[in-house]
Amino acid sequence: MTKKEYLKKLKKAISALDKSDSKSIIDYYGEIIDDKIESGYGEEKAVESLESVQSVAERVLEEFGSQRGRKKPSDGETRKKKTGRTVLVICLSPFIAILAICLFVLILALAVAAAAIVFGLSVGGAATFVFGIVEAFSNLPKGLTSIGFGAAASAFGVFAAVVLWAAFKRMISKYIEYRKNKREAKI
Amino acid sequence: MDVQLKRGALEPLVLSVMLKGETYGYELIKKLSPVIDISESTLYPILRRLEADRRVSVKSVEHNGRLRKYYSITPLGRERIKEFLDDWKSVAKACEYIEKEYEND
Repeated sequence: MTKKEYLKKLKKAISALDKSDSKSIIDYYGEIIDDKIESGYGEEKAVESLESVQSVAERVLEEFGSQRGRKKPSDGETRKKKTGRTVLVICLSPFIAILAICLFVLILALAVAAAAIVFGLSVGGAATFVFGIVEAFSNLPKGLTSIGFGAAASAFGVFAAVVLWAAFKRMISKYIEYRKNKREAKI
Repeated sequence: MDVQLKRGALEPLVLSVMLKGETYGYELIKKLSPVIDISESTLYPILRRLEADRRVSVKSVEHNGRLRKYYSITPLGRERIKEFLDDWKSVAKACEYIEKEYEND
């Protein structure tokens, strides 16, 4: 069989495929035959050394069947979709940026407020505790009450600080993990 | 060789040929034939997949009055080789264990 005959038969056998896929396969086998001829095979021998048209076609069709939906990134359709998405992102980017800034400021405000409450409780509690000790010398019941409230407030403040810090650390590590997974999924 | 094992090894094998520089279909087959049983129809889907996954880049170059496709490895392709080698280290460890248990049986 000559190269021309082999490729013609192959083209017919894989006619179920897209034109571009079919062309890519025909180009590939044509190139292999040419390279074999160039390396010293006669044309007939070069064609003979290949698998039969039928088995190549079966394999190719099977492969394309399993790859359905998994298009080449260079395909026009995918590129078009990508361009559309890029345009959309560019148009929406000012709004997205404003929204992101608002969200960031809100989170920051919440974090600052939480930190302030925790700090206030701890420091205020500690101050009340010390004040209670001094006060206990002149007015024992009042002093003891202050010591109790002060100790409770500062203990709660320290506890809340520890919990908040742990939550913050967990959030950061979750975020890093999420980014990592996203990057891996992209690859 | 087990079909699954072979399937897993082929992509990194093809990529590793490209570490020395760009190459084309027939050269890949010639270089890999002594290492593993590979035919033109096995190579085609691998090259296509590697191209789709951006592990290789492809360009057509004129050669003796015709076009020949040349394949080059990309950073993603290098990553794939590294992944394979890392995976293989775990498999080798498992093999060692199986071997030891088998011999002691």
